[in-house]
Amino acid sequence: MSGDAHPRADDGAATVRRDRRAAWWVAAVVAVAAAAALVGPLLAAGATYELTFPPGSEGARAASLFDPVPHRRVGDVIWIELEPGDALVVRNEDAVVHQVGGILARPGETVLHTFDERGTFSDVCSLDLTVFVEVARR
Amino acid sequence: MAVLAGGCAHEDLRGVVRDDPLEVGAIALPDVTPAALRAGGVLDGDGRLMMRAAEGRLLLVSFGFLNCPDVCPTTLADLRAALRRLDADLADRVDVAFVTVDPDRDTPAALAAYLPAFLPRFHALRTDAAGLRPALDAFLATAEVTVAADGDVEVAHSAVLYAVDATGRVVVEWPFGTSATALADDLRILLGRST
Repeated sequence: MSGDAHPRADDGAATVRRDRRAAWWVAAVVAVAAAAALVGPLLAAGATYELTFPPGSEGARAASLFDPVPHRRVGDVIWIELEPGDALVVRNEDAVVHQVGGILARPGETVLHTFDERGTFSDVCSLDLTVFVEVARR
Repeated sequence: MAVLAGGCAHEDLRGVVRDDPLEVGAIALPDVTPAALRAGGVLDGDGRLMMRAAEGRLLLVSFGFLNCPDVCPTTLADLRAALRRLDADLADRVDVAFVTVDPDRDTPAALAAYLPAFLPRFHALRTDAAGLRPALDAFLATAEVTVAADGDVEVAHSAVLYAVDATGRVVVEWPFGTSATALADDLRILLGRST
């Protein structure tokens, strides 16, 4: 017969210590999981950039409109550079439809689109500029 | 001011989703597809295809032209690949309409010869510039055909692919460049809603 079969006087206290230790571990794991659940999506959400077409933008070659958005310009071609998870807000305060990178915004409308996927997105640009949205890890 | 959101906020749809969707259900366009190649759809009293899906189905709408060197064939190829990624019973519930923005050159015969390279069944929609205008406006699409002095034809057009439900609402807009995988993922979600 093994010694384990003989109860000792301190077995009860040891069990309580083990239970407390286990409880602390469980609490710690739950706390870490909760923190990850709260913070994780925020970290993964990416940045949000806003592009505003003010009244009278129609036909303008106003590349300065793109200043709030990470981009590079080569001649009349604008490359908006985003990372997966970044969002682009297109705010149209003008009286005509505007479009950037395949996002269409009616007059007075604000469109928010999250680019989850890597790739190059394009469309006719209403500013007489060629605009691509390039989504890639930097 | 309507605020629109795409991506995670809408069941993980990858295309652009508006809280105030485009309403295109009142638009109808002449369908020049030969009967043997014609997909299912909702017709108006004049036999034109209405811009709304049949019940339990989706109608995908693309504006383009047959001489397009890049955007249009790429869109159709990505769409073809997306449909092939779906189970057959889901793919069978998707109807595709190709609206030509270059009707002078895109004759019914030319459309019928070209589109089967991408789709087994489809709607080839063709009308003149005046007839096309209400459709362009409803979808916020643009198209411009110019003929140079030397006779060269240049066509500029927007390249968004639209998904329309049975109520005539555009439920998703996919910017040009959206992958076939993302299209297929969105189609599964949308078809799941419309069962």
